[in-house]
Amino acid sequence: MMETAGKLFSPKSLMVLILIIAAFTIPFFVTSRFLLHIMILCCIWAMAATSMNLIMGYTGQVNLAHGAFFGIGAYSAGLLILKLGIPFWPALLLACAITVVLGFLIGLLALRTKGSYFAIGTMCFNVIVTVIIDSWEGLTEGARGLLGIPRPPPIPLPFGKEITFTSVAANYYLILVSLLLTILVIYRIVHSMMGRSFMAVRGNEELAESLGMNAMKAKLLSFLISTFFAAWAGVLYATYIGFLSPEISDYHVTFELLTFCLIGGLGTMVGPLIGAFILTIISELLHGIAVPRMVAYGFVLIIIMIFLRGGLMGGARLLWLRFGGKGGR
Amino acid sequence: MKKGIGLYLVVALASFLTLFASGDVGPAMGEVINVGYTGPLSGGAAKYGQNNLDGLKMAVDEINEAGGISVAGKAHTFKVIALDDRYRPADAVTNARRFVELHKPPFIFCPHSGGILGMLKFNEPEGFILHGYTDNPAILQQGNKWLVKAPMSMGFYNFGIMEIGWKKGWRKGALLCGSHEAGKMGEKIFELLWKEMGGEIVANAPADYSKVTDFYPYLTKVLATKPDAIFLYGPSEPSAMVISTARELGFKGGFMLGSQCKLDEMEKVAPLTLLTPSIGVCPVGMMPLPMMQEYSKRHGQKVGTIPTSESAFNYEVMYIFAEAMKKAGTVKDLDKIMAAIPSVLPVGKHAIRGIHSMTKEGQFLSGYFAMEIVSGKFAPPINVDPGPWYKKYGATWIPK
Amino acid sequence: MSLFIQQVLNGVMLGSVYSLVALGLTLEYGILHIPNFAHGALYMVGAYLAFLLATYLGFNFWLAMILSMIALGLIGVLVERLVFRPLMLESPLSSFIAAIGLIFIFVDGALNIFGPDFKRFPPTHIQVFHVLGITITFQRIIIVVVTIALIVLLHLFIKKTTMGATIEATAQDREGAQLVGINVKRVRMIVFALGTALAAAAAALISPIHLVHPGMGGPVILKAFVIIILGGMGSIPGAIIGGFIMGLVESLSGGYISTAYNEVFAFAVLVTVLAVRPTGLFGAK
Repeated sequence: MMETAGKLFSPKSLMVLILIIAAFTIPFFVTSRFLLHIMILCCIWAMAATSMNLIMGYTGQVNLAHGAFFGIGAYSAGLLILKLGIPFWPALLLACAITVVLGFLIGLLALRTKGSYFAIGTMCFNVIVTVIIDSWEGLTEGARGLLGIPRPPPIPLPFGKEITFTSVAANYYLILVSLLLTILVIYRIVHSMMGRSFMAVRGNEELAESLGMNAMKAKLLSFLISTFFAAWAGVLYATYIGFLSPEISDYHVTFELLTFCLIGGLGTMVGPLIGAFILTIISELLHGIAVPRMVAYGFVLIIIMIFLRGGLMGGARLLWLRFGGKGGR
Repeated sequence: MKKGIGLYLVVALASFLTLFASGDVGPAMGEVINVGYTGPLSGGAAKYGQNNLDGLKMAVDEINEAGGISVAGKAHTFKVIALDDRYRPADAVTNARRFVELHKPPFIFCPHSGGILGMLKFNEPEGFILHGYTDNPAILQQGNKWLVKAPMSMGFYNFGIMEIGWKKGWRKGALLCGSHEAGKMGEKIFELLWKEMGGEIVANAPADYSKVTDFYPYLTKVLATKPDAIFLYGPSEPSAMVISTARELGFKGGFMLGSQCKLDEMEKVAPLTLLTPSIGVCPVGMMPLPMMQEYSKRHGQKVGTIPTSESAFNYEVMYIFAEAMKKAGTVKDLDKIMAAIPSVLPVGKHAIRGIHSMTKEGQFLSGYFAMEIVSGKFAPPINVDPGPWYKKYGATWIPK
Repeated sequence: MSLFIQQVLNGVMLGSVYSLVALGLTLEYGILHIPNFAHGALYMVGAYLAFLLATYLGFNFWLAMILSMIALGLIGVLVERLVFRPLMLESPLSSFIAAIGLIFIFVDGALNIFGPDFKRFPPTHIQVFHVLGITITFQRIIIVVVTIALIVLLHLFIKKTTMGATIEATAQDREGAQLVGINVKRVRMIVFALGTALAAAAAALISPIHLVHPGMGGPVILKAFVIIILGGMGSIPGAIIGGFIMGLVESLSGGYISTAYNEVFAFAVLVTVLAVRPTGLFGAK
């Protein structure tokens, strides 16, 4: 009992609590729609990166098709809402389900390969998905794009009030809650037996198999969970921005998510979050400097990779140890 | 690990705050009116984005050099704030929100429909008029009251070319259009209108103009069907390469060049003798309009390149905005400024593209010239009368 | 029939260019285990170098190509030393991200220095031959011939020289190689420089036929990765054969099925091959 209480009030969970409270109260003292909008984008990318981290960081499979699932989720929701008139909440679940089913088919095929073969194979799937979205105009409107995706409808509350999603702040809360749910679920998975099986596969697949584990099943499960949350993030993007074009599933999106994970720190819960937030902010800050913006961004990436092994979280760990903190997490 | 996160939080917070202070002038204070531009300034569409921006900047520079505008007795100058959005809708929205927060521009320019549609969601509550430079008429159907659009529909720009080709006796056409958004639209338009006129489409070989390394496989396929003419829709220089390669393969027929091709840019890549015979849109720098000729000269001096439709239209639209402000007598009341626009058209000696009226949805109407390349030379531009087209299709038609 | 042969020839020419790029990449990725996604960006830099030499210094095609190969080889040495060497012991993903950073630097740098428009390489070797209903230009023949020459030279270098044997040894077992006194760092440098030089050769060869622009490396690098996986990681014959297969698939599927998806056909081919042989055509198990 005391132990649980100790864990509950440990410095780490206190910090997390403070962060969560801060995240919820931000719209009260940051009224700038511009900054809230950036926070929203950061949260969406953080969701997508966190889910990618499950298959990549914790299960050790370099999945380069993640952007495709983000896009499939986004398009599924957009099409369900616009063409079939399905309301937002069921459309969200359906879109995630559709993506998971497609993920299952792709995963079944792709996970037979390993290492670099898996990486490039999934990248090919990503390209193929983007081409399909672009060419199947009858379904997706192709390169013209899917426009006019509405925000979620108001949620009725007691006493005749309701939560509407027209303001930026309201959308921020929706997306923040989604992000926190994603983090919670993935955190629980990582710290469960399932998570241990994922990490066993990451460590040494053959060894894990020889110990009686079904590596394929573990990889597939991890793959599917990651596509579920990628799709969710995609749906949130679709309804927030309101417009979709095939580029949203492009392999460049995948690479960007990969960058967030690595810069933040692969295989840590916080890494993808930090990566998504800090890189998005850096990208914004680099506007209007003397050197071409993307060139500077490229330098930032290289410098972080070379000087902060293990990404920003790795660097943080070093700092922590350097300043006399106790080792271990 | 705690200290690490703490450090990052501090850094992140500080960064957030500096976003406010990052290098630009504050909100418009009555003398300087900010104008926002968000478009692709890096990546594959950088040229397109830059062309748009060049025209806007030229107009603003000229207006300022002439002493700015006088509105309700007060003098005002303009300032362009341009940000790269990598052609992404989310980035365009971010840039627009930054403009609104820091610079309060009454006008924002954007050259891609993704960004435009993203911004249409909040330009009314946040208060800015948007110039959407795109041929996608869907933006006009959102019921937004503060939107204007200069380019006409692609159908309009390309039908004149086909009529001329038809008159030359071409009947069997082959399609070799780009697989990008505009290319696919061009392909549909060519096919639809050509068949309507009674022509035949003998081959269709779409190509990704930016990715293809070698056009031989595409041309081999197309030329085997012995077309009279080939429809091309893509950027200027690769289109010129396609033509040059087709001549290598022995093709002696004609080319109908989609509106994305700028014939003067093509000349830099392939000599006119190879481009003969072909029909395209007359490049703006060659339009036989004195105002346009002047603009072309100034553009060459200031920007160093030949002007394009992108720069010309944005130049003219900026002048339209400025004149509308003067006429409305206000720099803040956007409804009044929008209402004043029709009455200032055409904007005197800055009406280089000849915008003469605006539909109620915000579509600016103007004409164009077609041009043939004959016997190794540019033939005199042919004025295309938009009347019959409007009557049949309206100004914003696109094929389904 | 002549249509078929023409498309086959088209495919062979295309395949030559792809092979050279894939060869360079397989040296970097297959042998040095550097997932150098910036290989395409370096290819683009090679094209610009050749373009500048030919246009502003008036060098003829051959001189421009050779000098560009040397210059890009040196750039490769710098890149390997400054960017990839520090990441040698890290996960390959770190190098992958660093490569993405390099792409931004090269591509956006080229965009800002040279502008976004397409540049035309001075037309070279433009004689056209019409034989039995088939058209081929001199430059296209040169591409295939030079590719074969470079492949042979590379093969001789690896099999017949000491340095070549050193490279093979390092590729097979880095620690073992170090144990017998091989300077692994020097080997890395040389192999990477070879890789980039090959990319420069491919770029110089194709430039007179197409156009030079900052984004020209993008589609090429995707295909190059597909090729080396198709052929099998680290396999030089795999890269060559994979390159030609890619070129032929693109050309023939475009000619007979649809040009709209001919690039994706190659990706679909890869996915199919991997489904049957998860380590590629020539890859080790």
